[in-house]
Amino acid sequence: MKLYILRRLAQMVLTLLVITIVVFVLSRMTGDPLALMMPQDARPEDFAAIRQKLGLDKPVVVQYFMYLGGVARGDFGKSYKFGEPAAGLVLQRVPNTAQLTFSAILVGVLLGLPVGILSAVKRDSLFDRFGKAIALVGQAAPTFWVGIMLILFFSVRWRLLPTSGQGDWHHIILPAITLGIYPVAGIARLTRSAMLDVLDREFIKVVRIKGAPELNVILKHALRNAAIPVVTFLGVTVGALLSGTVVTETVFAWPGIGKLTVDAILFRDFPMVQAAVFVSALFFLLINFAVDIVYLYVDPRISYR
Amino acid sequence: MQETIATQLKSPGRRRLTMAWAGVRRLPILPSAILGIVVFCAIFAPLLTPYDTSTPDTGALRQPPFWLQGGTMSHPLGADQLGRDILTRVVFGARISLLVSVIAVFVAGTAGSTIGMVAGYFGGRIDTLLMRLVDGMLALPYMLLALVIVAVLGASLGNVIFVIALVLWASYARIIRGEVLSLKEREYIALARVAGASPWRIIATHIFPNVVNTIIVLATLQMGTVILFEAALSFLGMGVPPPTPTWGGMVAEGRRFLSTAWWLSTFPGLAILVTVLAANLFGDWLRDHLDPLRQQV
Repeated sequence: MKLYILRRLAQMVLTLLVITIVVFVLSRMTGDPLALMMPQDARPEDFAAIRQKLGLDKPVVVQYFMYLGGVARGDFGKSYKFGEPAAGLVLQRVPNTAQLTFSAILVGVLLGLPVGILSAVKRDSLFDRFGKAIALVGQAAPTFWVGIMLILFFSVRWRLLPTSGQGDWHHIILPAITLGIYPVAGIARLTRSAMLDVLDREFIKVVRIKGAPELNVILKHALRNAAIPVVTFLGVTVGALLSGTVVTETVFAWPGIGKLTVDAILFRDFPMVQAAVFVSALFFLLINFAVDIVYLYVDPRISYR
Repeated sequence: MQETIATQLKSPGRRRLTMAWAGVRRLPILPSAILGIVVFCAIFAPLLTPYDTSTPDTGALRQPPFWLQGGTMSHPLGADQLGRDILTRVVFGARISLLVSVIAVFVAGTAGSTIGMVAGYFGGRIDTLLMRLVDGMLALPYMLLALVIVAVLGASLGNVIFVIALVLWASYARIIRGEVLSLKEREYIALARVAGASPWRIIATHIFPNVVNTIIVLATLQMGTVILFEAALSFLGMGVPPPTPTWGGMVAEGRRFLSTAWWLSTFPGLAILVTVLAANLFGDWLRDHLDPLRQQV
């Protein structure tokens, strides 16, 4: 198992290296960043001076290794837009994105789990059918549109919650629900099918015959055994949610990594794009890695060579 | 009795038609109907509406849908900030959504399945190399990757399709490889090899027909995801550029007028929702019907 973890770590470093190459090559293909940075009346000498200062006059391969050396030290260069180290600016945003992702998962568990359990217990009831329909719609609705519709009703019409930005806890409700729709749907569907599966087993009958109260049977004996696929789904979802944050943060002007990246791409702020994509990829990989390690402990049936 | 024999003796063409009809009758009605309508709209868009998608009309600026005060049947779903008919733009928007998702899924499916079959059949070093590549692709935050690539290459129809295909192929490769690994242990494959068939011939005539169901189901299940992905790119301004109407782009443009003209953003979003829902339901039905993925899900 130690070997497995080591191999996974090596693989992660390799993936990160590939990402640096991809992002570097791509961002150098995107056109002259100076065209956007310099004032209209700048003279050619000014261009040359800035180019030299930023190292943009050297061959691309040299630029890449300069950049890679910087990456190793956590230095992605200064943001063209803000004039501050890009890595620092990106890292400042990490807590905001983490907060949003965590809230979305919380929404997913708090809504999805009870709906899934009730649907399984009251199988084929009106509630079950309603829940299934909601889950199907939840997985088909575009995130950005859900966000905009929530703003339309809760902010514009009823004036209950702020439209965007970050402030007290009111500000996170709509973004968290928007990003949480997908996990709610997934968790509800999975919990339902896993619970149905478990409730059919012999040991549940035994527990019932022994006279355990029904609530106890469902919440203690059945749910505990139905939890594994749900935990698995959560692990996979955290990665997907990081992609969802790009859209959600843009809709709600939430100051996280996703919005920062979109803004940086639109501004052709190379160092910022590189730092943001690198940091996102790093978190993405770390979370997937952590999830795999957790499985190792949660489900002893899984073995890794 | 005689009659039944007579029916069975009907020409093979007739019988094939009857069988096809039996297949059609089992289709899930609502999802098939919705998808049919969307495809119809995409193909015949210019014939369905008297308006075009880009000519402004100052007489109809942000005109509400017909059931609200100030709305008329000449713009049933209202008009946008330039007075363009929203129903027209939603109908035309189906073109981009379908075009992008069908081509992207086809390209990704073809490339990914081929790579998966090659990796699975040949095994060894090729397999290791290709699967590392697949792992790497699946480990990338795909939304950011797509955004960066589109930003660099420029937002155009071709580039959007390319980017989506690029982030999709890996999942085909992984699943098809898994199927091929078990297939190639079968006896008839060994017999074909003994008979002197070349590896490529075996892949084409013995492996491919056995995984094609899986590919079709996977492709159908992915259609919805791809439509959502394309819409998200358009919403972020990295999709097919205006004035071509895209559902995601329309939602984005309408956002600024949310407090005064909610219909600008609402209807294109509804179009996405309904189409994706239908595609997902159809995919679910197809999976239950063709059944190849059941063991893996």
